[in-house]
Amino acid sequence: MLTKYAARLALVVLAAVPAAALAQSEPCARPTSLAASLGLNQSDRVDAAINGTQYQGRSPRLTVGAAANARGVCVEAFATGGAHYLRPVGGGFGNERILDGRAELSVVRPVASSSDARATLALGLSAQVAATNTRHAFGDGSGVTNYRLGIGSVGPAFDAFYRALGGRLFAAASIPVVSLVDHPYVAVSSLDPMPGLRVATWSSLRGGSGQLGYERPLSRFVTGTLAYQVNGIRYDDTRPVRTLSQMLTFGFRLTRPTEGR
Amino acid sequence: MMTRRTLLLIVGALAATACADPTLVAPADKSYASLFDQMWHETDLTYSMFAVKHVNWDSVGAIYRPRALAAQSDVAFARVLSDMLSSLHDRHVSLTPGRGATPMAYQAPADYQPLDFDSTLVERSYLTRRLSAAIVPHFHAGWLSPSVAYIRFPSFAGSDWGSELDAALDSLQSAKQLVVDVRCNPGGNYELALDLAGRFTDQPTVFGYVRIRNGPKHDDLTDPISETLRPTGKRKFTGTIYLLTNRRVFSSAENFALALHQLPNVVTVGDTTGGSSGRPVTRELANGWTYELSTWVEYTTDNRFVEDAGVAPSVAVPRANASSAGKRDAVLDRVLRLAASGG
Repeated sequence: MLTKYAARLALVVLAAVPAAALAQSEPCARPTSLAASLGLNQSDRVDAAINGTQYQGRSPRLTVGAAANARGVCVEAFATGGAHYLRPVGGGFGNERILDGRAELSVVRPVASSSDARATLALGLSAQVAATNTRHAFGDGSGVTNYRLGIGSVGPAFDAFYRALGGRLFAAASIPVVSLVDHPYVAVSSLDPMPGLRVATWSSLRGGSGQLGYERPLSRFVTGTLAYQVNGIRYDDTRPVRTLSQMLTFGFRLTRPTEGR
Repeated sequence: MMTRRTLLLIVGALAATACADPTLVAPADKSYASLFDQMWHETDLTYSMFAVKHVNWDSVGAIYRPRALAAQSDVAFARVLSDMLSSLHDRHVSLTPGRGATPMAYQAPADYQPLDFDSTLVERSYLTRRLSAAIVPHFHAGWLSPSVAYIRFPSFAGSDWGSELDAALDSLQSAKQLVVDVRCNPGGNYELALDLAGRFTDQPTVFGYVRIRNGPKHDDLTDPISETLRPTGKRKFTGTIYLLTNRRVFSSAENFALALHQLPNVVTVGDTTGGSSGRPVTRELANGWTYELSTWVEYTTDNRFVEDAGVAPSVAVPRANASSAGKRDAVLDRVLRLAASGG
C-alpha cells in the first residue's frame, strides 16, 4: 500500500516538474560553481549479515561538489567518502573499519519562487550511488571478515532556498524509490567477487538524504557554506541493514566570475 | 549584532543535531534463551550443508533449547551449544566461548585414531641436505635422494609466503622428481594454498566447484562456481610430483590436494583426505562468544561431494601399513620405489 502511494506520489511530482518549470521559467538559485567542504562525520550502522550490533564512529571527511545550470535546469553533484573505525554501541563486541563512498547527482528545475524572490523551490530527480566495505574484527580476536554493501538509487529530489541573514538558508532532500542493492548474503568470498544485484523498492529499502545549511558570500567569487547532512537507509532483507550517517561541514564554493553574485 | 547571534544559534543547532546518538536497534538480550535462539536462527540462515549432512535443524533446535534454558552456568550453556553444533558432524563448525577460550569443535571418529604419520621420522631417517629454516620458515624442504626433492607443508596458515616456495624450488631445481607432503596438514588460508599450488602448473586448471549459501532456505545455494588453479610464482616445478595425503588432511589442505590431483604430472599417494570442505565464516553472539559455520558445498570435477568423502589417492597405502611400527614411513617408502621405477 505504502509502496503504491510512494510510487504514485513520485510520478505526480516528476510529471509536474517540467510543466511548472516551463510555465514559470525560474532561474536556478545556485550559480555554476565548484564546492569543497570538510566535515565531521558520524556513522551508525547495523548490518545483520555481520551481527545484530550497532557500531558507531566519527571521522573527518572531505566532500567535493559542483553545480551547473543550463536552460533552467539545475544540476548538482557531490561525492564524499573516507575510512573510519566504528566501535560497538550498547555493550557489543568487536570493531569495524569502514571504507565507504557516496555520490549523488540531482537534476532539478525551479518551480516556484516568492514574489520578492527571497524564496525558491526546485523539484526533480536524484540518482545516488553508495558503497561500503566493512572489515569486521571479532571481539574474541578470532580474525577479521569482510562484508560489502552497495546501493544505487533513483528518486525524487527537492531544493529550497531562502534569502536571510545576509546570505541564504537552504534545504535539500532526496528519496530512493527504486534501488539496486548488492548485499552479499554471507561474508565476501574471493570465489564470488561480483556484485549480486537485486532490485529493491520502497517496501524493502526506505531512507533518504538531506541537508540543511547556510551559505554567505565571502567575496565576489567565494561563498562560505555551513551545512548539516544526513543520510539514512533501512533495508529490510533476510539480513536487514540500518545505517545513519550525519555530517556537519564547513566549506566554500567557487563561483564562475560571470556568475558571481 | 542580531545577525551574529542568529548565526551562532544556527551553528549550535546544527552541531547539536550532528552529535546526536541515534539508536538503530534495541540493546541485545543476553539471556541464555535469547543467545540460543540467536545461534539457532543464524545457523539456520547461514549453514550450507543441511542437505549434505541429512540434518533436520528444527528437530535439533527442539531437542537442545530446553537444555540450554536449564543450563546453570556459562560452562554448561557452552556445552549445550557445542553439542547442538556437533549434531552437524562438521569439523568446520565450532564454538569459541569467550576470548582466549579453546574452540569446541566436532571430532569425527576417525580423528580419535592414532596418527599414521611421524614428521620427525622423515626428518631423522629420510631427509638430507635440508634447506635452512631461514630460507623457508613456513615449511620443510630437502632431498630424499640425489634426484628426488622433498617439501612438507605442515599447515597453510598465514598469508603471502609463496615467495618462500620460489626460493625452495630455486634451490631444488636440479630435482627430477618432487615429493610434496601435506599429511596432517589441517589447512589454513584457502588463497595461500592455491597460490602455492600454482607453482606446480603452467596452465589454468579447473579442480572443483562450490555452491555458496545465498538465501534463507536450506537449499538456497549459488549456481556452481568453478575453482580454478592458476599458475603463480617466479619458479615452477612441472616434473613428476608425488603428493602425500592422509586422513588428517583438512580444509584448504584438501583444496590443495584436490587442485594438484587434477594435474597430469601429479601422483597422489597415501590415504584419503579428511573430507572437511565447508569454508567457514565466523559469527558472533551478543555475549561476545563466536562460532564458525560452513558456508559452501564443494564438489569434485565429476560432481561428487568433497565433504565427508575427501580426496582419494591414486596410489593407496592403507593405514596399517603406513604406521610400520614407527621405524619406516611406508608411504614415503612406496613413493621412493615409484620414483625409482619412474612410475
